[in-house]
Amino acid sequence: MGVRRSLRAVLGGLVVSAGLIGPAAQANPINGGVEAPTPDVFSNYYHPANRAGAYPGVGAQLYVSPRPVPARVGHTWVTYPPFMPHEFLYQHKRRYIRCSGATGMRTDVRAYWW
Amino acid sequence: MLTSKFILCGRILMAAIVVVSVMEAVQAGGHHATEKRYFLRGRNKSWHSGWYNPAAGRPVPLVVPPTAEFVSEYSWGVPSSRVMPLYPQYRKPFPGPGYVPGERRLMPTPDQPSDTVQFGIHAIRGPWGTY
Repeated sequence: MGVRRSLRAVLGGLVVSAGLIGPAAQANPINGGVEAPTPDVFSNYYHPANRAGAYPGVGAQLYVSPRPVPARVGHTWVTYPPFMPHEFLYQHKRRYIRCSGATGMRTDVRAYWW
Repeated sequence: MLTSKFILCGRILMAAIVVVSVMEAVQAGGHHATEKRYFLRGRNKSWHSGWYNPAAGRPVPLVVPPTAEFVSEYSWGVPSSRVMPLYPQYRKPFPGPGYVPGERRLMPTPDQPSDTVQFGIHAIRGPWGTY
């Protein structure tokens, strides 16, 4: 009887922890109420190289780094995206929402640029 | 008394509906429509012209706020200025090759420039967000 009760308790604990961990594993940031993929700290912004009439086309990138390099090459990245300089070009606000682990809680950050 | 309150609430509700629909009609897509139009019209356009900046050896992009819509260009003669829509904008992801060959070669800034385009510095709007 005692074994069966402890087994039931363990199973119940497994179900509860799966329910808490499951949503946290799929946590996505929400930008303006729309879920978006997690921002990549290794990424940059580009303009494609389109030909200017008969003249050749040259591409452009917003930041000097990071460049699209192989994984074995050293990288430079921005650890805090709200401080990226292009965010200060215009007045706007954004909401960053992250699930904080298996506790079921979440971190809600409201960022304002003005 | 109850009936008059009911009628008053109904009128307020109708007024709110009318105000909201009029605001939507005035906006008519607004910001998002402009963004889509700029994206579609600037898809296959180049951000630079046939001139390059001799100091850099290539056309130089000038980052401007994404809220910018037009760019002014000045020249000698008539017309001495023109206002052009500013389509190019920095985006993700990496678009591939950074150079596409053309039939002619890019020209350096002439000794006596007659147009601001010849300086090889062209505006590109910054990205909207982190995504």
